[in-house]
Amino acid sequence: LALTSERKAKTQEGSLSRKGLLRTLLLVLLRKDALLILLLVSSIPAALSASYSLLSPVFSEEARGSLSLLGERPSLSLSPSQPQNATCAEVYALSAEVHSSSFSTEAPAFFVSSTAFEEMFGIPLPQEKPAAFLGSSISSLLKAREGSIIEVCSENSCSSYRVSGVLGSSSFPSSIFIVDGTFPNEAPAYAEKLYLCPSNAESLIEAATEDIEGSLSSIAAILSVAILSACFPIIFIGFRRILSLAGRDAETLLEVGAPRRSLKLSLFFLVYALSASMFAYGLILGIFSVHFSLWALRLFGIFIESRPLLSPSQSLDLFLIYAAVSALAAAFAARRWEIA
Amino acid sequence: LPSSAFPAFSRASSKKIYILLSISSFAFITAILINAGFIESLYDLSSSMVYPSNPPTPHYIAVSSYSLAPFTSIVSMSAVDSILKSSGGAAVSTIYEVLAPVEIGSRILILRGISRGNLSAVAGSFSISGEEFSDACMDCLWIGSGIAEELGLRINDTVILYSIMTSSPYFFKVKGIISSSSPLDWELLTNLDAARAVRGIGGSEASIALIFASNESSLGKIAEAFGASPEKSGILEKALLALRYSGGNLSASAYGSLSSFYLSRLGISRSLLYAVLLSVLILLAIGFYYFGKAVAGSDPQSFSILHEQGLSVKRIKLYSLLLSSLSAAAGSLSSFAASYLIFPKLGVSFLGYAIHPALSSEFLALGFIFLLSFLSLGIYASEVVSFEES
Repeated sequence: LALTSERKAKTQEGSLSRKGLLRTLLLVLLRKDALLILLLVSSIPAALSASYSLLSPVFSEEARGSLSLLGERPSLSLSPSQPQNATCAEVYALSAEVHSSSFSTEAPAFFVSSTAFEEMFGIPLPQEKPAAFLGSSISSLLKAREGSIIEVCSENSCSSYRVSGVLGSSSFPSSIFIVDGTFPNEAPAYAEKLYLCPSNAESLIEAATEDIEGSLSSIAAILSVAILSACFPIIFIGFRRILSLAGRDAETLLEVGAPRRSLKLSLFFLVYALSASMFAYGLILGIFSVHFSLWALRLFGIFIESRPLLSPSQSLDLFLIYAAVSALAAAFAARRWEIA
Repeated sequence: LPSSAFPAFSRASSKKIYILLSISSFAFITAILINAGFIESLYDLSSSMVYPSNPPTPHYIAVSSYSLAPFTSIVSMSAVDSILKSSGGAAVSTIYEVLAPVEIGSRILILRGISRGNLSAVAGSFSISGEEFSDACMDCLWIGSGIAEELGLRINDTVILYSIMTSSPYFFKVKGIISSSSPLDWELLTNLDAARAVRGIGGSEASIALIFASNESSLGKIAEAFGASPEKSGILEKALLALRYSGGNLSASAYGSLSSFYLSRLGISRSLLYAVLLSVLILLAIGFYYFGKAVAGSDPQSFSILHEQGLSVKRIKLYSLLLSSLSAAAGSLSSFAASYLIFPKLGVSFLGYAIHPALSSEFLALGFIFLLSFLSLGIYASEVVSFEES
């Protein structure tokens, strides 16, 4: 087969053109188990690194799915600077000594205006001012309920407040809110000015999954690089084996007049291109095997719905690492390759 | 045959292929060790988070609820205390801990709550710069020195953190920086009450209880009091009792380790992880089959000459295998040595903890065995002499 196409190329253009040479060499390589060797040396590392790279997308999709219920929960955020596109209330925060009849502790105290408090917490204010509202944890620690008297001290000055209510269990459990009609005059000068804004837990969960996804993908990146670079010598050996397999055919081509330099270059190019396509095949194989494993987990009672694909940038990164490693291997192999 | 056949053979054979084989074994073993190391470290994370650095006695168990992770577990302290009372005072002491994942500046870290008296048992040897640890304080935070450096936090700074469990913000003041060699270096630390508020649990609850006994038989008694089957008490050392409350009744099952319990709740067992690692190892080792072929075919001319001088093909293959085993062993051992030096510096941050790959001598051995098997297959499957019949 190789020889017939050689002759065809020769009769068509008189001498062996580059295109004809490439076509002939391709036929030689396809005939010589070169694909099987490349399948082993290029596809396996590709499949492994693709599976590792899918680790973090699987995690984040699953985590987002299971946390999305939590994300709909309304919440409040606290920040030192006024966030854009939000109607926020100013609060003044400080660490205070809090005393009740049975317990003393240090806790954060927030001084807030009555309108802001009503707006943010949706709790109608009692007639009596100033009023103190306790978080659920601090309320049970102090054994203080509605109507109890607590003393709040900071920097040696103390004031007593009647507890007007206890906040819901998942909002500021360890804090005290002092809602004062004469605000902000009563807020001490050393208190910190903060902004209390309505929000939901969505951004929190987004940050949580992103942080863990980032950690997982850096581990996956280390593992992929380790695997791809560990394959360098194997790729080199594989390339050399292919070149030696093609040796006798290359000699024949030399005899029919192919220039030595362009023969070497064409062979180098072909092996490189074939191994790159085997690498791409390996990436697809890796994605497929991850999808299959995720599906197969349902046989063990674990239902994972996400079927992530490699992002173009992930595939490109893996491809570039492989391209560099295999180019080096191909160059080494070609340099040592002597025809006859 | 002269006894000097092997030295003669090694002098005659090509050095380059064996050098390449050493480099290749080095790369292969390093890749395997990094793989196994990261998976092992991630696997052991929950154990290293919970087990104390300086336990008062070497015989202890952790008690968790039937949950997915240490920070989703809730244990009723009164239930644990009353069960311990019924065991007839077999326990020497109990440490309660609260663990909660928190967000601080788009980083997720673990906030740990313990009482002042148990700090040295949990942290091991430690030093605090700033104020001493205090139990009576709802806005005090002590920060592990590793995390303090990463986040650029100093004493008296205000910290606003968000609890993943309650999705509420919390106002804290940094009271001190704590340095220790335990996981605490990468955590936020506060007292039990403040941590409970962040975790969103009640005053008589904790995430984990650590129960210490003076000897193994007392530990067995404790497990029995919890209703764990006595035949499992053999695996109890440093193990875990997972409590299940159903219909007002409490039952416990014993597990060999924390990590295996939490991962088994996710449906992943340690053996499954090992199976994945082993298949990675085998897939990577297949390439050494071609290496074996390359070794056997590296020098057909001198092999033919040696063969004509009376060295049998069997011998040539055996000597090739011997030489390649030696160079593979050299590569593998130097990889192990390099990993020993480099792994402590190769860290990835996970939930704030610096995760370093653990060095696994089992996978060094496994990797070497599979490398050699494929290598020898390759050597024996190829023809070493061009004209074997002559």
